Amino acid sequence: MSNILLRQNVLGGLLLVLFGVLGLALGASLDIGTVRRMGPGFFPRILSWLLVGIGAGIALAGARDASADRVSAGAWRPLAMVTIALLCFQLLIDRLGLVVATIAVVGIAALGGRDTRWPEVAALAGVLAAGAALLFVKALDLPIPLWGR
Amino acid sequence: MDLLSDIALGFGVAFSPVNLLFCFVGALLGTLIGVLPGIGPLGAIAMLLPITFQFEPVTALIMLAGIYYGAQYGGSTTSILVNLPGETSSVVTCLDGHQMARNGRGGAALAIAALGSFFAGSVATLLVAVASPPLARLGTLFQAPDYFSLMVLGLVGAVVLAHGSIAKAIGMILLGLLLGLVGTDLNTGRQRYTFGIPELSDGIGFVTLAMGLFGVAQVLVNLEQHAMPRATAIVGSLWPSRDELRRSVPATMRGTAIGSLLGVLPGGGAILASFAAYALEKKVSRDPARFGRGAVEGVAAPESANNAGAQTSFIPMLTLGIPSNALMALLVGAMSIFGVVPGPRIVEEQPQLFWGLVASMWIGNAMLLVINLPLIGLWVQLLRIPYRLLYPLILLLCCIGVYALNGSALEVGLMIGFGLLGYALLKLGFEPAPMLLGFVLGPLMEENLRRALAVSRGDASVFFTRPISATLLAISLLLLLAVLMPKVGRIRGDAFRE
Repeated sequence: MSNILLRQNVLGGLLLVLFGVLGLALGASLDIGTVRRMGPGFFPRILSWLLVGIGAGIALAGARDASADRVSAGAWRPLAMVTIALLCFQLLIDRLGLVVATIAVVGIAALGGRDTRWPEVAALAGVLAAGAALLFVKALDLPIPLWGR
Repeated sequence: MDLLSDIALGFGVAFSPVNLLFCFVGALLGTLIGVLPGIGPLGAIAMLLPITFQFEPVTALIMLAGIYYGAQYGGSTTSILVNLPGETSSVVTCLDGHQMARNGRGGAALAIAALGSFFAGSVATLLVAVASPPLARLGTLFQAPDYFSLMVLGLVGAVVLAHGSIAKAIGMILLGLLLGLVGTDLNTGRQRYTFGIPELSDGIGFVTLAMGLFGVAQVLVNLEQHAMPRATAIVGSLWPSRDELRRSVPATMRGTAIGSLLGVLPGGGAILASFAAYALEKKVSRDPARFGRGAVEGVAAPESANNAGAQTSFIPMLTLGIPSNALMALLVGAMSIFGVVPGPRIVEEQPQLFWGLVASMWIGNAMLLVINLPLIGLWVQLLRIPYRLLYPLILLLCCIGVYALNGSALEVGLMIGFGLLGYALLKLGFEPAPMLLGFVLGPLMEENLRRALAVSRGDASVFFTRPISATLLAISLLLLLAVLMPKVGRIRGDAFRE
């Protein structure tokens, strides 16, 4: 069973079914209306059912095809470190501003790479923090806090 | 003579110092990013969007278009010199282009690609100028049912012409359509799928989705793969030999013709154009065995075709407001940030913007020629930048771009979510690009379906009785049937395997 689940199309099809079911469940309170006066729930329901249908079709076809591509093993480290780095940007940008957030993104993202060289990372963080501040805040005047609000 | 005065107006706009400068900056940055491995035009435009936020709409569009051609051309450079296609439309260029480079003719291949692209770009731009106004007039005849059917055709075309599984492409489009509906329902003001989050009541940000799917997800996938292949590039003389020129002129012509044609089709564009042009060259050649061993036609034809297709795919986007591929969807999204709604009326009501953009297409192509050939040494140096220095930069640009649009840190969080979704989809063998097309078309499709059914008093036959709508639906059906037939399906498979 777990073997079948690891086929790309089985898992992928099920993912589409999941989105379709979510679309139906979360949109259950939306009014369907009539064909003549479509309510806000009309089009979402059609799309959700189509998603369930096509997802189920892909998953079933995948389950019957023993030669199908398997999901390749992922690497957790880059995935985790990149996610944490981006989350840090989200948390820091309003509180401490662009310079600190940039250094955090570069530093933490570097933990997810292979053959990381720390002096290089430090230099990159410095250059990017200064460059981003000059280009986006000073030159382009985008509404980004430099040192937090 | 209308056309001439319109074009003159366009050049007047495009030659203003500011627009000229940003056309140049766009082409330069586009090339810069296109040369870097692992970032295609979609990612390049998405990441560089924030630079344009404070610009006038016409300047912003001119710059974004410049980024697009630049990224496209930069991809050819890496294909030829290091056998690394920066993006899908230059995959075929690798086949013969890199062989030429290994035979010491890399410089000539680059020159042929640049000259072919410039020629194709000029012809296709002229085509945009000639074909758009009449098509826009045709567009004004379109009513809600016709628009709905046109979008169906566009989506069917995108599915049929996408590479990979048809069912999976349909799945991606449906998911995109559904995501496009998140936000306030325009008709009733009801909140849909917003979970009470105020940032979502205007819908999912276009930039947020694009950066997540094409920026963050791509970094995650790239970091998993083992060291990217590198080869030292030997450029050699930039001057093509007499024999190479003789062979590439007709190939360029054929590539331009086929590319211009395929670019206009729904679902078409640069990628399909380059594959088709390469296949055609192999067919008409007296000695097909030369292909794959450094045949200059195998560089000239697809390179002209992808540039021609890149230009002419602007025609349906600008005149009907319907993007034919993910890249055009990205540009429609970008235009909406500047309050510009492409459609039949844009030619009449915003002639400055329309003709300015057309003129800048030609100027941008001319600039690419100037940027690329003399600076080739610089681009080769850029190829040596290791990915460990690039991906933090890509991630940072994604964060800044999403944050700068609305000053909302929460949207950065949403982008992370779409990044993880995009990564999962890529791991499961889905191609996320059609999702973007669905996302842009979702609200438009719903609105036109609603209007069509309201006017016809709930009678769905209106889609089959109006001639325009019926024709469009019939073409969609034929396309779907054709691709389901085993024989055509096999040809489609072959075309993308090349």
